Amino acid sequence: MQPSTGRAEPAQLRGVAKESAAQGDALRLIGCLRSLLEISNRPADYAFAAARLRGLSAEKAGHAGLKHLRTYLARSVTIETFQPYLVVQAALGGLWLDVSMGGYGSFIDDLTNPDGALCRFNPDLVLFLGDLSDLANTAPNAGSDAVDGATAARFATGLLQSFRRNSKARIVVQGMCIPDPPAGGDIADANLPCGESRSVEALNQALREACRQIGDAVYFDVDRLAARYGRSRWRDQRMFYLSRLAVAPEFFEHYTRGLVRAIRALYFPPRKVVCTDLDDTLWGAILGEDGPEGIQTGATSPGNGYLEYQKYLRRMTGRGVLVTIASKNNPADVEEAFQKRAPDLGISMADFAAVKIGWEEKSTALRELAGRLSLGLDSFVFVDDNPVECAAVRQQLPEVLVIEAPKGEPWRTIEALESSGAFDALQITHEDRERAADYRAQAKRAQLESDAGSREEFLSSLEIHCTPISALDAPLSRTVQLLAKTNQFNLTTRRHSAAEIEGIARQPGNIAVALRYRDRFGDGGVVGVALGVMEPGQCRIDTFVLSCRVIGRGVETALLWHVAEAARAHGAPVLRGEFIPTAKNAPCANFYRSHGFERVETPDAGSRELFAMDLSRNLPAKPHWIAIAGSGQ
Amino acid sequence: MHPPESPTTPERLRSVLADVFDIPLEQVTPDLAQGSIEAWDSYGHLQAVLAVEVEFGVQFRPEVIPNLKSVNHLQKELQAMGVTV
Repeated sequence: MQPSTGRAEPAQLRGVAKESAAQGDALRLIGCLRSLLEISNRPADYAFAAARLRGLSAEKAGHAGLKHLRTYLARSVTIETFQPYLVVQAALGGLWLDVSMGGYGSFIDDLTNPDGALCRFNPDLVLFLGDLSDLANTAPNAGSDAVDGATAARFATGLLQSFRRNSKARIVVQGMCIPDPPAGGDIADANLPCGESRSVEALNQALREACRQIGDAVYFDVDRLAARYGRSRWRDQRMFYLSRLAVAPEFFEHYTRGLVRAIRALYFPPRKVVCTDLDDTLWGAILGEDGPEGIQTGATSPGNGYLEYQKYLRRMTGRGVLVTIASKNNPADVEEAFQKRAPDLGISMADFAAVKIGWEEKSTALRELAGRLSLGLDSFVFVDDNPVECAAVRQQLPEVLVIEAPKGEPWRTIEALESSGAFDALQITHEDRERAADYRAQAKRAQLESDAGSREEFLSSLEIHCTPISALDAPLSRTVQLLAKTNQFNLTTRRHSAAEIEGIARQPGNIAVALRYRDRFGDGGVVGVALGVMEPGQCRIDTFVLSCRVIGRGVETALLWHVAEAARAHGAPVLRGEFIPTAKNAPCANFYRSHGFERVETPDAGSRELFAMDLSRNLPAKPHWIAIAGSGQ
Repeated sequence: MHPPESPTTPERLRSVLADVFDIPLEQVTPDLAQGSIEAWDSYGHLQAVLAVEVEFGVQFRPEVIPNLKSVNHLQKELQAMGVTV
């Protein structure tokens, strides 16, 4: 959710919003509404915004990239009053909610009846918004005075399990607010084992558990929001008794924003990279002016605020978020600062997946970091204290989420990162952490490359090992996948099926080889496949593909060398190559020519280019920096 | 956050109701009432009441809320609560 830039009057923004809505320009409309609500967020403004969105077609919204969700609200409270807020916040968060609502009293039927209104609507998404009084009092055998947490918990868990049996929809389960003031008073509630707060916490715990158990579910901790803004004000009792409205109007915005954040966690993966600035962001003061001893970081104020931000970033790496630097500084100065101030820093150079320190534009640095990590810029969050840099990145790289670090208040940077929802995740898997290590290896290779004096030196230092194996043992599914997915380094782009590959491999004399790759930074797995067909007087390379991850390291040469050796061992005097151009395979157009093959002209070639190498006189050069298993090295 | 310069009542009241019901400002006359337009149903009523409360920084008594069924009623109640018209 990108903040907007520039200043405008509400009336002016409303004018542009109306115009954009009339033209069906959803993107412009949403940008406009975002700006409007930043400067004027009265209920009337939300009503205006919701009306403009209603005027858009789902199709236009879809073209603007909004995710369309058929949404059913199972509820025991009033929703209609804040529905404009929900629809608007959803649109600002990239979602187009097509809403249907259950009746106040029908939430049990909605969640448990396979032929009920919910199931008939066939929703993508369900929001279950219940009130404590309903869950606690509707439960059979509910206690008469205080909330019976255990009974309500069993009841609620049963509802959700039943829902999951009936529906595959994703679901947001809203927890219960802890009543304030508690029944029995503050002292009794805090001290008695049967205190009301504790019962409600037990119920919420059960809801959390149920969410994990039924899957595709997110627990929405509304009590956390209520506590943040004040439980005593969160609910306007007057309106609750009048209309079953469970949230005070002054919190509609916070509340619906929280709901949308929960929904987004069900549909959007978290961003993967934080890119932080250094001066007045990661530490206080300016390294270039104040020197390594002058930067603010460490156990005492004001450095301790920055220390906390560094520790926060370091913790993020443990969750699989990659932390990087883009800073305008001299690289040697930064190295020195990290060394000299190591005892005062909560993060070290080794914790960063990639670093770009120099004097180029931040957008250039971000592009380069994205390239090095092989990640899209839409995975990036950029943190910088300089509003000009922030504005420039927003403008040039709109897909990057930009967080402006408040000057002199580093603790608010953490707050801003957390409240952005960029790293909201429902689970952290083993793969998440593995991925971080994998990207670090990729970044180290790139770093090594830019450090190495020559290409040869770089390639040698990678310590590459290649192992040719049968294409049937890659396993075969991996071979099929490589042929199906590889576009760039694919000389003939023949998408053979598993059966076709087997057919070629089983024919005596034919070559069907896959290449495993490993270097000092990690195991790359199977990265290349070649298929050679024995014909009278020659071996024809039918298929030759290489994963783009390893292009440029000589692996293609190793694979070709292996094929040539095998062809000669099978008695083929000539090795034939073929290049069939496509829209994407230009990177390998010169492959055979650059490996010593001669162009062969035939009348029926069409757009194909044919090549040949006389194996009795020639062999493709073997890359000396690669150890090829079984080649006597 | 509120705009620094807001129009005064009844213009201000009219513009809030125009937004809530998504109708042109000219249509918000003193005798516009619940039931006279589709948008002013029971939920629209609640939205209108809350929007007016926030706009003018007041809270209506709960027993009064169901009676505020026209622009005229809303305006009179605001005046009775001391809001400058």
